[in-house]
Amino acid sequence: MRRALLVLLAGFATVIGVIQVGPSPDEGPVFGTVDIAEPDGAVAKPSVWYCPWVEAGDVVDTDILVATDVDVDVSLSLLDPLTNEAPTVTGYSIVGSGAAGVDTGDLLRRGESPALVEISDGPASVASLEWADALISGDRCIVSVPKVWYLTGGSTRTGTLTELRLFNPFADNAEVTITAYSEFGVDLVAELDGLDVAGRSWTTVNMEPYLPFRDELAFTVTSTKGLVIPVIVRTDDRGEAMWPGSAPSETWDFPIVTTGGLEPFIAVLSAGGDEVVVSVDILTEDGSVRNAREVTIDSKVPTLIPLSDLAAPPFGVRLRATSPIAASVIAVVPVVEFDGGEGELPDDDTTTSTIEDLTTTIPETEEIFIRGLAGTIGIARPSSGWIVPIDTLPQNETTMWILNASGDAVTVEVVPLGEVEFHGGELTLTIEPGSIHGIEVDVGIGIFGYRVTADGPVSVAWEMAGERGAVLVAGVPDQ
Amino acid sequence: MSMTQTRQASVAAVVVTDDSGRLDATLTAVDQQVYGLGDVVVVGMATTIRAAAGGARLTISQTVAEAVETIGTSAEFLWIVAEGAIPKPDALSAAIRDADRTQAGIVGSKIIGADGSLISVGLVTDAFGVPYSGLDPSELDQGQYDVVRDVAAVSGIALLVRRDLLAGLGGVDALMARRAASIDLAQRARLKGARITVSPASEVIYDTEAHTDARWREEAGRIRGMIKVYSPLTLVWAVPLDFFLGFVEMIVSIFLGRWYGFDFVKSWGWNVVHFPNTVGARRRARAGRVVGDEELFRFQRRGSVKVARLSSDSMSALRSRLPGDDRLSVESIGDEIRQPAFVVGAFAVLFVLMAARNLWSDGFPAVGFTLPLPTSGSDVLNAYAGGWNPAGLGSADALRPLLAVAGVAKMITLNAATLPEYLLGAGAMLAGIWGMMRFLRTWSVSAAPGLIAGIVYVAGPAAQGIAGNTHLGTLLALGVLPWVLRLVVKPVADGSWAFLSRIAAVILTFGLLGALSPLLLIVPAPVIFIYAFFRFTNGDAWRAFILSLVGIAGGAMLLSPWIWSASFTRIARQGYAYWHLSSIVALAAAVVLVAAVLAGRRTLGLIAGWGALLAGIGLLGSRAGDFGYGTEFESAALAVMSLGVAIAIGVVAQSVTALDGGGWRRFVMGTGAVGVLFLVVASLTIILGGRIGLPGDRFTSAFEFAFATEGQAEISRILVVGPPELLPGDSRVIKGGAYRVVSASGPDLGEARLADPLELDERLEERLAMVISGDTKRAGGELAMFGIRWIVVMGDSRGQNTDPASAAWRDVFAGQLDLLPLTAAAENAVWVTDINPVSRALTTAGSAWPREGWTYQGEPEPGRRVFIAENPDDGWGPNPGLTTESMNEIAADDGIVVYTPNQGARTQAVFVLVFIVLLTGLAMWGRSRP
Repeated sequence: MRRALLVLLAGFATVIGVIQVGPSPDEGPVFGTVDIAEPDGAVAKPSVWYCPWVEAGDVVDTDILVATDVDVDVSLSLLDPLTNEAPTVTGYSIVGSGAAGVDTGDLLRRGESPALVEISDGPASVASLEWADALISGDRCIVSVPKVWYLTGGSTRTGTLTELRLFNPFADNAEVTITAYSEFGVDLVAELDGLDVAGRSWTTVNMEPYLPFRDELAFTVTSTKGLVIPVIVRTDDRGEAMWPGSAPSETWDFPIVTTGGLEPFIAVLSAGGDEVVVSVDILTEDGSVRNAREVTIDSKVPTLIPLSDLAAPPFGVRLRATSPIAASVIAVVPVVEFDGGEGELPDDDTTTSTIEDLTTTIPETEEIFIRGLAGTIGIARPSSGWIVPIDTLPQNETTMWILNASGDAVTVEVVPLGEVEFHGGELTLTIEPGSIHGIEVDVGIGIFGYRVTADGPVSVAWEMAGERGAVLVAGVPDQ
Repeated sequence: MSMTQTRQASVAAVVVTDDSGRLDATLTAVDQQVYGLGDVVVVGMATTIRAAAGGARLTISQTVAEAVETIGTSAEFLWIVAEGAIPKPDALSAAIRDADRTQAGIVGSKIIGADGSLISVGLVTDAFGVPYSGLDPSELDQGQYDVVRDVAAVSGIALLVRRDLLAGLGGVDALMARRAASIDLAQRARLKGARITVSPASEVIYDTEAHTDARWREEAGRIRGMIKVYSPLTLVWAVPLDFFLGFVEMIVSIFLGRWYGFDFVKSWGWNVVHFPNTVGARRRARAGRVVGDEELFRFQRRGSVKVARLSSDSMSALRSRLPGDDRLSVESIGDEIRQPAFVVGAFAVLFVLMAARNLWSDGFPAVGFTLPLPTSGSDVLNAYAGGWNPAGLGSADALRPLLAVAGVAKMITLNAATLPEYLLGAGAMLAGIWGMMRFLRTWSVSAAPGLIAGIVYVAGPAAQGIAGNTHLGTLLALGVLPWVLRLVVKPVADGSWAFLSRIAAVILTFGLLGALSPLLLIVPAPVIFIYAFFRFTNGDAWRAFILSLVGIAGGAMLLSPWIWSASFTRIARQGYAYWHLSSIVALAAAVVLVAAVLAGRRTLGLIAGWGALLAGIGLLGSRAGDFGYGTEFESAALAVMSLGVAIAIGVVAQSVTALDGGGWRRFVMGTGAVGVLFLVVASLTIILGGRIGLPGDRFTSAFEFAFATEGQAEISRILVVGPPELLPGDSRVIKGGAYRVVSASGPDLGEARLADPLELDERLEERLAMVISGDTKRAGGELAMFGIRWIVVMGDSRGQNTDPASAAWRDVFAGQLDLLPLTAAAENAVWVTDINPVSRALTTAGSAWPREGWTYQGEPEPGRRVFIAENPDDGWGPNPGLTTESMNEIAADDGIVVYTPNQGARTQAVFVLVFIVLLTGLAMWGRSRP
């Protein structure tokens, strides 16, 4: 009897024990690190900004522009091209709200030298602008470092060069895989698989040897080890443009796509596996044209959407897609149309020439020479606050554009930021729904940024155009 | 009969008294010698001399030296005889005859006991002067050793020495006990070229029980004799080795029921006090020597007599304790190795030697909660007794009592590197097997079934589960648990002293059990309660239950000071208890348990049912994570399960070997035997690893980079992150990610258990949160203030076997600007900070002070301060120290920073130590009483 009771109890305990389930599988820590970057912006905390495309030599200078809402200490580090050499570090302070620009050429002139800018507090933002007598190129710098980047707007058509700069500011070596997409779909290039980027260095990959004669190129850059910050650099004989990678989004705002007489296009790439319907809304200073163009793009095939025929400049664009896409604006010298001929990009040998050559090559046509090549990323999420680092250069005009894609008018307060306190210059304006508004920036008075505060969501970008060329730069939202 | 003509040499007798009251008989025997004696001198403080040697001139002297002077110069030989010795009438003449014939300087007599047993026929010693007679106890004199031969020394009970030799030697060393003095005299004589022989024809009767010098005096004399005669080269190794052997003898003898601690201390202490005198005596002894040490070695046996004696005694003790129906037959030496007890014991030892072989060379593997023992035993004992807890960023919380056990093991082995770990690991395993055999013997389960049960108990699937959890303390506690149960269920002998002795032993073993595994301390009470409940009418069972309660209470007291700050709830609930049960193992265990209950007759069947219930409860406990219990609870439950299964195995094996029953019962037993066989085979698999089941080392190789640059490990810490099961010991969690900080010189057992977080820990968590959130990209700078130089992400952080936790942490640290990668490997990625200087102790001048033991030491910097990256505590000094918000700031003037222990905890620890000594004495004394 006692034995039976013992066995019964033992069996009961055993059964209860056996039916217990194990702990749920550990899914790992929640550190907020994601493969694909969320739209990043200026936050109220210390930040590090990465500016991969910085160069200072005998011809070219690069301005590093920092705008801030609060007092900050800034540490600007310019990496040395030689491995294991310590970077050149410059520190300075900015009294908030304020902004400052530093010409890296004043610090050193050793050619390419990507920068990282450490800011002790926030919100603050950084942009870089490379300039020379006949060149301007730049965009906002990057603050978040995801593992997967999308870059659109490349091309290796004749006369056009596309490079990817992979900047690894960290000490850890990085290994990245570049996947290229062209009008042929996925363009497999073995050499672009498992590229090593040493710590605290950068590498620039010219796509022409691998992917020649591609009208449209887009890329994803995936870090399998370490982290990199890529930028796409597109060059032709008229200029150079660079813009960073971005994350896919279903909505993109481009407050300004037209600059310097260039012809704008939107380069898109579907991030998913299905066809995506992309709708283009045009926003001008006077109003908007909703759904001005609608295109269906294939998966993994980059598409260039022309915009110049949709409205007269200046205008901005809102893209709406049925699923996330990567997008950027690219503005090139416009195509010259010949009677009965097919439209194509200008060619020095046949269709365009400088004013000086005009009389000898095409005497019957008096064409204005257009310099420049511009491009930038879009704005995925409008915001009511913006901190926009801005640069001005002689012989060029700088204009900040504010886009209101909402259905309501918004009241916007614009405060210029500079190295000294500005007295006056603040603007309060109302932007009608579905329109853009441009604010010309005075050159040479020390304005290096703007604080934009609105009572509704707006998007901000700026453009510069003139004798040096043209550039489009995305603004930085205050998060 | 010798045909040699004996010349008539002049001989004087020296009778050395010892106040044993037997002088008259000795003097009478001396007087009756057929050889004509000259002077007879009585040496000593004899107060009554009732008879005098007839025909001889009797004088009294205080010392032998004085006696030699009083004897007339005509005496050619001195015959030194101890009080109580009864020389046969021809003893002297035989000695004189052999001395003449062999030209020996010293001739010893054959000493025979009053019962006819041989006491001495000359002596051999080892290199340390320990005598070895070569005789068995009670060996009778049958003339088997009757040959005149050279020996190392002769007995001091009766010896003949040439007078000129004795004078040249400076006489007998009066500071020595008799036996040591005679050996010393012989060795000094040999140095001078004299022969020492034994004369079997010279027979002397002596009652050994009448007089024996104190053991420590003999030991002290032996050491002094060694120092006097050996060359410096020999002394260099002989003296330290002798000290070590004496220490080992002292320790081992405890287990043989003897206590030589005081003898050890007194003998060496005596020599320290008399060292100047010994130096002088040595000078005299070695002056004019004609031979070297090698001549002494020629008459010595190889090896150590002490070690041989200990081995023999240990084996005897082992044999006497091993169960076996006919264990008394082992007294027959010839049959010894054929006895079950011997075979079983040998098999158990062989199994343990194989299962623990890698501990001998490598010590405990550094994996999980199993970490190497701290380097210094005294340091860790100091830390346990109110000192600084070095885990993480440090705290004043008491260390686990396991550390006290580790400290004692280290001290006993003179801080040997791996020996204490081997002794603990292998010893626990052997004790577990042995204990299970003894425990089962309570119900007459014999040796072989007990051995099988013991092996499955310490090495079976449940024990492997404990080892897999790396809960070292619980694994070692397996060696104590059956002894605890055996002590409480074993019947108590009559008498209050026996009862007190049992209580003392119970408290001691419970204390040891609790020290190794706090949760197991409370296990015996419910285990015994179940036993008593199902044997309701058995008074002994209920007495055992009461004893277990007493043991728990007393054992808990022995865990002071830790017990007062310990939270058993926290210990039990940390982690998630879930033991992955193999289906086939479960089936085998179930077969064994059911077979045991069905096949066991009467009491054995009930005991098997008890084991089955324990196994079931253990299984439930080992998977009780959903009830809120953690991994340490799981390990304790596995110990209970292992116990229950082992009991059932013992019952099945006993029933099978006894061929107990027939029919269905035989079938059930056969089925159960198959299950037992499976479990035994499963248990034997731990031999493959050779680490008593513990997993392979994980941290030694993962952290070896710290030693690449000399001096950095001692001043730095490592931040270890990744999956919690891959981190050393306890870990903390931030945003779902586990992390912890360890010493760069390699985490030891003292760092396994983290205390509650304090100010500096919270500061570290804040900094880590900043790094994780991306608020800073300079993790190296943020972590430098904690002395963190390296960051290690444990596990595969990329590649096919990527662990999500490792990958997440890698992403955090790969994106930092001031961290340099040290490896390109996917596993255990390492970064080193680009910040300088980094140190756990940093002066205001930027000098790093390394951690030495439990202190920080560096170059004194008068007027400066040193920041100690330990949690702030007023105990850090020297005073005046400043406890800042998160750190300690100490004056750097002295070049050292120490932690002043908590006096209350220190006092408690001392009391516990005294209590343990008293309990040990009481337990042993009661046990040794007839």
